[in-house]
Amino acid sequence: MRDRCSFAAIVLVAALGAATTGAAALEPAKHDAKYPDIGGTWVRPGAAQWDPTKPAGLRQQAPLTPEYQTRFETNLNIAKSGGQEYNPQVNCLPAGMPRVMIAYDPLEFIVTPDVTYMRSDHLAQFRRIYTDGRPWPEQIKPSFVGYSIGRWVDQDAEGRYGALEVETRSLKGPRSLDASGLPLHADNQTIVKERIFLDPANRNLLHDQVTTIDHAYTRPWTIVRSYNRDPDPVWVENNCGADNHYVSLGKETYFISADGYLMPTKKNQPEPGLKDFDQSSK
Amino acid sequence: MNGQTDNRKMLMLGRRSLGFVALAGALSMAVSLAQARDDARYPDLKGEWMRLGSGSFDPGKPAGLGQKAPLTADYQAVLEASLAEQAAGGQGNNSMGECVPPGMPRTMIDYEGMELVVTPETTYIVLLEPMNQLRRIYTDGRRWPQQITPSFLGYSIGTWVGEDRDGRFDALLVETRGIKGPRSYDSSGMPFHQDGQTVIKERIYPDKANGDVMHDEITIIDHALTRPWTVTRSYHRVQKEIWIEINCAEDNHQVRIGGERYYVSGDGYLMPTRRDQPAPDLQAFDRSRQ
Repeated sequence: MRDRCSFAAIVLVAALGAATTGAAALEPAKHDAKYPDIGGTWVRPGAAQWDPTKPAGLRQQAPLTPEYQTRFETNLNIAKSGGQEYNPQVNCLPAGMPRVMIAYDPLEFIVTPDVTYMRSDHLAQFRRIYTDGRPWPEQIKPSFVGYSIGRWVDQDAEGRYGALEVETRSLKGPRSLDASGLPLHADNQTIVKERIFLDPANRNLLHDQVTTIDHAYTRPWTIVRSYNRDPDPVWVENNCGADNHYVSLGKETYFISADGYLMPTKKNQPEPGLKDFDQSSK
Repeated sequence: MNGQTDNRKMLMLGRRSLGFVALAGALSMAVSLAQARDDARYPDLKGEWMRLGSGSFDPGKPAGLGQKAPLTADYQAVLEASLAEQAAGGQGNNSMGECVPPGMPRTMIDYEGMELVVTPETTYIVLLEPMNQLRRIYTDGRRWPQQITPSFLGYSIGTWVGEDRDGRFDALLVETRGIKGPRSYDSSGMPFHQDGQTVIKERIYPDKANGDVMHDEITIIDHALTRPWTVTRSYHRVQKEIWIEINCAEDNHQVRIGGERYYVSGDGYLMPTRRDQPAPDLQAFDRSRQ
């Protein structure tokens, strides 16, 4: 009788747990033993070029098609002359996927059973990675961070999830992979696959294995970015628009000096047209 | 509370009779149960919330001077100057035109929809307005930091409160400090004091009669006001949420050069925003080459 009672008790507890699953969506999943403890703040430890294991620029050895290799070299030449026209971030456009995973500013993950949220305060981006089992929508409005569906996986079958696998589609541009102007195809058909997981030997180290599939590349390009946990984050608000010194007029990018003058960014840059101003009144 | 005690008793019985395997299972379930018990305390604020009412700060009153904000005489003059400049085609005291975020409390106007993500330690308010602001309201019992770097959203500490003793939280009380400018209450340019000493108190709560309606009672304490000013904004839950990405910079045509605001036309020309506006000084360019 006592055994029957205790068995019934456990069944009841299990039933109570199941019945409250819906409400549990409020609770961050980090409190649930099934999920790895990736909630919180993560900081980039290393370089900001796309593949952090290789030097920036041509030495990234990106598997670009000849056409996009030429575009990349053009971008590098513009940068050498002082221009920034190839880099959409100078006009405060967000990095988008996958560049946002460089983590210019710390990343914050908020894990819930239905959605894993990721915030980057740099150019204010917010990823929603849906883990509720939804199918791909028939129509997706393109965005810089795209539409992400994730799946928690338990590769060791130990009852705990080991990694979050994510696929991201429906991206829009202009985007580049990093500040050197490593290009993505103008067709914006990029697909990004990720595997986000804690380092098995160091729970304060997070990895994101990122595979970029894009028509500007001859093959899928996989790199791994890593992040250190910041247990005591101090959030600094980063609002590009509030202190942006670059302005694009037509095809040219200019600089606004601290004392309010419009300035060239390149030698011999033509000054902007002022045809709509009454020059005679000057 | 009795239910919690009963559950604990039941777990103890289970431990005794089913040994270590059952113990492990029971412990695992205890985690789930504790989690669910915590969750049930919070009001259901999930989903996308859109504003009810106008985009003026007090949605119950007409815009501009019709808001009847209790401004001091000096700051009433700032508002009137802002309205006059806007009437002439300018932006007045409205800095959002240049992609400066609305900050607190203007962001709670909720221009494009917002999402609340409630965790025990922090309530996040994800705002879709063009600057993609994220509020972090700390509910982990922390004290005010000795130093706060001012930001447009400020630093927010919240407390969940239950008012009818049913074991559930009814409202989130929030205080926000450390807010920087330039800010205005709404697009009229209704001003805050330049000293950046604004303190904002909020009571965020679901409507008792309609769980798909949420209210934010906002009280502003600011040296540009003659007294604390309280307004209540309301929001409705969207049944089928659609998150859109809005990036102010993607289609921003306003630019400030020196003390002047200009407009960038669709074909890339810098244009005046008012009659007889001086052109920007181009002395930094080599004019001999033009």
